[in-house]
Amino acid sequence: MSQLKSIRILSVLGAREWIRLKFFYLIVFVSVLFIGFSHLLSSLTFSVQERLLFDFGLGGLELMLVLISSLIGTHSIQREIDRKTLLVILVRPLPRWHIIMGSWGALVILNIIFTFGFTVAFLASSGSFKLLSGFMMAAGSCLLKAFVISSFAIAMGIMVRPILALGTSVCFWIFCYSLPDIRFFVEKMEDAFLLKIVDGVMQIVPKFYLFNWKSHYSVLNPPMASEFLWATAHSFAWAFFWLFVASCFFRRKEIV
Amino acid sequence: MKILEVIDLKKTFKTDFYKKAQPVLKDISFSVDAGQFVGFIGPNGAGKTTTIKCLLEFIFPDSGEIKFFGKHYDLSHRRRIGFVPERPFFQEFLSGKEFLKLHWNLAKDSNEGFDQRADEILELVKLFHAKNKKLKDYSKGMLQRIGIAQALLTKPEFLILDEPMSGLDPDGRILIKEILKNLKQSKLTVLMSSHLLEDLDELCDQLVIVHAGKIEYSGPLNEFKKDFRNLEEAYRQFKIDWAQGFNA
Repeated sequence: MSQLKSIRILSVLGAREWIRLKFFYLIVFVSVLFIGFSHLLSSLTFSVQERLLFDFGLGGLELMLVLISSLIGTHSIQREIDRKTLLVILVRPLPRWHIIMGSWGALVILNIIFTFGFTVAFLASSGSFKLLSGFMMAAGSCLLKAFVISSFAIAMGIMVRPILALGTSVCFWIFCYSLPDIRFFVEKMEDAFLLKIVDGVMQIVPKFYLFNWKSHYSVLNPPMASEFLWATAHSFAWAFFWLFVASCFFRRKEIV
Repeated sequence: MKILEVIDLKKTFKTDFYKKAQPVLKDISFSVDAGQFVGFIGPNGAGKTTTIKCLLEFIFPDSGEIKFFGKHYDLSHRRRIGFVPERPFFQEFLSGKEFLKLHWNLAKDSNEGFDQRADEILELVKLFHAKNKKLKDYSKGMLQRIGIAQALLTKPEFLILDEPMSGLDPDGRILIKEILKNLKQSKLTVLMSSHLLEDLDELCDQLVIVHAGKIEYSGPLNEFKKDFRNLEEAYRQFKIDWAQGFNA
């Protein structure tokens, strides 16, 4: 229980710290613009207004969540090291992996707050509260992916410099979506060896393309509970895998 | 009883991955007994902060042993050790009391006794009046004092201070010195790195001098300065002797 307590304390501390910084407000501002643009774009068409509105809005939500996860994730530990605020935490009787879990916990809190705020603002502005359950499923799938990206970003932020880690995290997010497309093109190349490599890689990266529910179609036809449960288990398994990697690297990281 | 034993500590650093590792700590051995106030001095780059970082596992030595309370360092020892960093950078959005609460919660399982202890410690470091003020509004001296407060909050048996008076104005220095004098009177074991010889002269009863990664002196302060009026003069002569020995 005391382990959970220290992780909870560090998570809340991290979330409080990031919420008060300009970066978070910038993301909120861009999100408001995104919602505005999705309304503007949908008003340009007569036939598929709602579809455009939801597709664009949910796309914006995922993009913002990825930005929050990758930017904050890659900088969270390094920022503490640079500002020397980590030193007095490190002398407390808690193992270093608690600090990793605390950083991830902070991101989970931030992402949940952001998703909640976005969902309320989007549905209120579009007057579509009747689609709340479908929208929540779609937003939830974005949130699950953000949890994975957060843990990956934290791991990368410990291994390499934050700016490189940021680039890697965004590439990882794109890569996790693009594998079926890559496989399609490799199949066309008729290179059996390359195809085997792609098939191998497909087994060892998160399958974001299998729960890509950020669309109007998915809001109207929400995935089944079993599918959502699978996506949750898949995402958390990957998130914990990267947190484990991060903890292994951070365990012997020198705080100079 | 030995509170701290450091035996043959060695540490090298690489400035770039293709460069040869430079030795920073070559042979650090010293010990601290219970109840002693130990001054840890040496020029910039001598290895004081690196030694302290090794002690607290911020960095890991290449070889050597560190024992706290007769045993190798582990998590349980952290409950018995307090640390004040050189630069008081803390979570500035917290108030003084919130900051102490954070450290109490990280160190203890229950909140019981926090309010009483926090008020007690805030009185000791003369920050009771500013307990609800945000740390961003604290002066450097106040930050250093809240740093000492977080280190003392959980009643440690051993306190490590890394240059606690550097960069402070005279008032801040006097206040911190008063707090340290109180700690000395209470027989708390303290290891304090500092450049301020005058303060160390007043506070310490043991001295450890580190120079170019090696311990050059470890023993009673009175013995070190026995032929001189004060620590500054003794240290000046020590440096002259050291340079002559080095050149020879």
